[in-house]
Amino acid sequence: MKAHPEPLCMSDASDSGDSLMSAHTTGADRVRMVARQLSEPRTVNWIASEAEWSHEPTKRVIKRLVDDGILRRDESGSHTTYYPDYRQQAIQEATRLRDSDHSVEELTDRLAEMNDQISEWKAEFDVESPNQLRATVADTALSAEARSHRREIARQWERLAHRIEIVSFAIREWEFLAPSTDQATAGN
Amino acid sequence: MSVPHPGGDPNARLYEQLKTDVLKRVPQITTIQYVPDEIIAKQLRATFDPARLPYETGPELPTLSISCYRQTPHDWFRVDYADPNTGFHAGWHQDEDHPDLGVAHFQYGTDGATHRRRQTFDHETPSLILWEIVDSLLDDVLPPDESG
Repeated sequence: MKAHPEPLCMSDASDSGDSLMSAHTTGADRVRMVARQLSEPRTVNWIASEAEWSHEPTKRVIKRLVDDGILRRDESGSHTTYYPDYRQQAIQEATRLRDSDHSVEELTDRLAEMNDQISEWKAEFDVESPNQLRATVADTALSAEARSHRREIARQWERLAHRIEIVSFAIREWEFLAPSTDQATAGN
Repeated sequence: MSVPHPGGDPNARLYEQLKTDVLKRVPQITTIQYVPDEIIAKQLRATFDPARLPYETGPELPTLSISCYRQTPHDWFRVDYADPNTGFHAGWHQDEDHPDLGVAHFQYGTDGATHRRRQTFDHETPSLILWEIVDSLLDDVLPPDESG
């Protein structure tokens, strides 16, 4: 194998019009990707620019996403903006777990593992929440490595806490989220 | 009064979106797994078909590991390519590890030495950033296939 040369800057690569992304996505695909991951309310112009697509077709895709309840429209400001309904995404994720090959017992076991992990962090750092752990990062007695480790654990903790909510929801609503064939079987 | 933004966790569906928006569409990627499993879902790991990469390597499967967490003011992520045949690794990190290099940095190397430099992205959307990374990996970071 030959040696790896010094890689180019990313911006050099992304300027090209024949990128992998443009080869494997359509403009409508990219609008949907952008719309579902907005971190703040955005205009059609912003979404079109981020998705590298023209305004009118972007507007049509966004209208469909609003009609489907994936995006919310806000017309109260000087510009109409759009924002994804992240609650819907959380329910979709719980439904995906329900539809997977895992049993409710497996989900319950994993839920216990995640809760145990959080209990261990609480005991290890003597705190009750990720933000309390972050507050200890300012402790001057800690090494740079220890501070970095605590920030990393705080992020993992927060992520795990959100994951626990989704897995708990899937377990709690196991019957309600059952695919229709399961419900039909249960009803017979 | 503005319409309240529907709350919820922007991370809830993030890995599934990265998987369907990007990884499943890359022809060089053959498998995509959640790590440690799809219930806990701490990370995504994609494996490449070595025969479809733009350079000659061994039979072991190179991987792309993706850890991502939506947060303010900047999303946190680490996307790491590793080739077990050669020891080559390359990573795109938007974390707190090298603030002297800015919000994000790119690092690469083989075994011992790791080189780092500042990294910027053209997009803000996680799926589109991952496209930029995969594009850069396959077009620039990995050497071209001399036999092709």
